[in-house]
Amino acid sequence: MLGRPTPADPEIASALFSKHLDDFWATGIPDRKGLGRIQLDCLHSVIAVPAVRANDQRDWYFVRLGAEFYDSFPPTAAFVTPKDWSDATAGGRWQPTFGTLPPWFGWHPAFNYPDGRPRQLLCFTVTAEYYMVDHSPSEETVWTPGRHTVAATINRLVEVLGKPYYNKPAGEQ
Amino acid sequence: MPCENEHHLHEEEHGHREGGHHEQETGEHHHHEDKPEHHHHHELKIKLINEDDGRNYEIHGEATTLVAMMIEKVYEKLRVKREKTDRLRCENGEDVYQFHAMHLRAYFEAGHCSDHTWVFAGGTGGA
Repeated sequence: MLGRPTPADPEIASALFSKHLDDFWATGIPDRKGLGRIQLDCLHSVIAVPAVRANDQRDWYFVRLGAEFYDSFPPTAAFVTPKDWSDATAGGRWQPTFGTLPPWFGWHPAFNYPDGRPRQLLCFTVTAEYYMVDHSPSEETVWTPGRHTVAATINRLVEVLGKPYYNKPAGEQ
Repeated sequence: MPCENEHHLHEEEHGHREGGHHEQETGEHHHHEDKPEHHHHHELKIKLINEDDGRNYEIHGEATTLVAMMIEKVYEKLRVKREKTDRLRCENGEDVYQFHAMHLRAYFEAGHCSDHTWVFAGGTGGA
């Protein structure tokens, strides 16, 4: 059972994070899924994901992944705006809405964290934020370094931003 | 902060991976191609994508191999213990486990996983 995330050595975290992203991109899978990758700094990259509606219309989303705790813990994850890569606001264009959700994923556009600062919570066991909040995941679902990499986070996000889960941007009437 | 990554990441330094787990098999087989094909002795190949770490593998069986045996090969290849929360799907999302009693050739001829690719995802918690 993991406790609360503790900051990683930035140099190690950065190197591991880059390596795992490079390894994943080298498989060709991200290209096949139409994903983009923008490095912000040593510890942060933005993944551009084409969400797919039920009618096949596509909407772009940008997810900032961070290696602050990597890889003892999964990456931090948040939907961001392409204007300045800041957190997307609840109810705006750059946050998604979902019709249904798989049992292994929760989405809170503005969650009240224990530190008192409301912000997004992509609530599943392959984001660091999941472990910042009290949860009791079953053992086999807990993030395990060596078994999980940032690829797990990206793959699950791509899955929920597709059929049958994704609905439309929060800011769309 | 420049991203020099001066810590060169050899697997041994981190001790995360068990021997052989990190083999990246796709593309390394000398005379296999990416597309489904039938080999001598009716050998059939399945591309296996592990969504937990993004790595690709290949597993091989014969026409009369049960899907259940191929599923066992998945776990041997990934070196993980099977859990009830695991998911093994075709790329179109169809569950693989339900076809465990079929022979591999019949499984493909019935139109399942036409691209001969299976996608594994270990259990995930959330909500």
